Amino acid sequence: MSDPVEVPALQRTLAAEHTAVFAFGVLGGRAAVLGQSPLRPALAAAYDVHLVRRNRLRILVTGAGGDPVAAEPAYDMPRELTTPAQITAEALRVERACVSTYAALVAATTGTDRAWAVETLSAGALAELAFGGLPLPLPGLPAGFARG
Amino acid sequence: MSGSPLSRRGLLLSAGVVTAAGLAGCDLDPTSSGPAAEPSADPDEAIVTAARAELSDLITRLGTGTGTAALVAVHRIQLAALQGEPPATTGRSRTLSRTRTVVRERRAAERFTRWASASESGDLARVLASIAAGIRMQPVLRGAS
Repeated sequence: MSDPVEVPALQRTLAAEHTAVFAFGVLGGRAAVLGQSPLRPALAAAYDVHLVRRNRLRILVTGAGGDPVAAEPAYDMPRELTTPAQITAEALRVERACVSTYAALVAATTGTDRAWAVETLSAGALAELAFGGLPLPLPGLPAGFARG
Repeated sequence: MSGSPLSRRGLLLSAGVVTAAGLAGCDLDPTSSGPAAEPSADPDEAIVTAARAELSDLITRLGTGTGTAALVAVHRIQLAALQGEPPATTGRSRTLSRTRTVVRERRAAERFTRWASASESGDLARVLASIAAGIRMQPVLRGAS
């Protein structure tokens, strides 16, 4: 039987990972013309990580009694993705979006699913650093959360 | 289980740990005098108390060290997210060496990870998990692998 809270949260996270897989595929393609930029292996690694998470989420959704949400044919991407700075900024935006989604998944899950979401939130926060993100006190929470 | 959008007060209300004492600043000193707290059936109260104590201790121990101001500021924000009151700075605590700081920060991240998994309240778990991730993001741990 499906969990009325957990399945929608898993589906939202799966949708975010579909977006990330698409985005990192595009970003990797754009970075391919940059030569030996350190951005290329970072983007390739991020693509692989998000692909694994997406596949795991499909299994989790199915296991929780849901029908895994399908990827869209394409996702909106910024028009200007030609410089390392533009590509890096978009990569960071995608990672941040995923971290916020995993924070919500933590709240909606229990047991091993939550433990995985907790670990993935941390891993995603660290991935932000690879794309120029600054260390945050409360990654995945709304800005200013601690001020109430 | 999950409250979204998440508010700081909302999360502790959902966890059942906002009490009169909590709103005024939870007294983390078990030796202090004052009226005894009402026994609570809230399963997360012990986690919130331990989490606040962990951050308060880190703030105290890091507070007088050199080059720790940014890390102390991070922990103050994290403590505020749990509606904890920052500890008074006494200057009497022995400050941590860099090596001990790394050990303590790593241990704190592991504890917050465990508490996030154990919390009954999903919203509280979200904040605890975020704190664990926030600790792992800090430069003191990034340069210490």
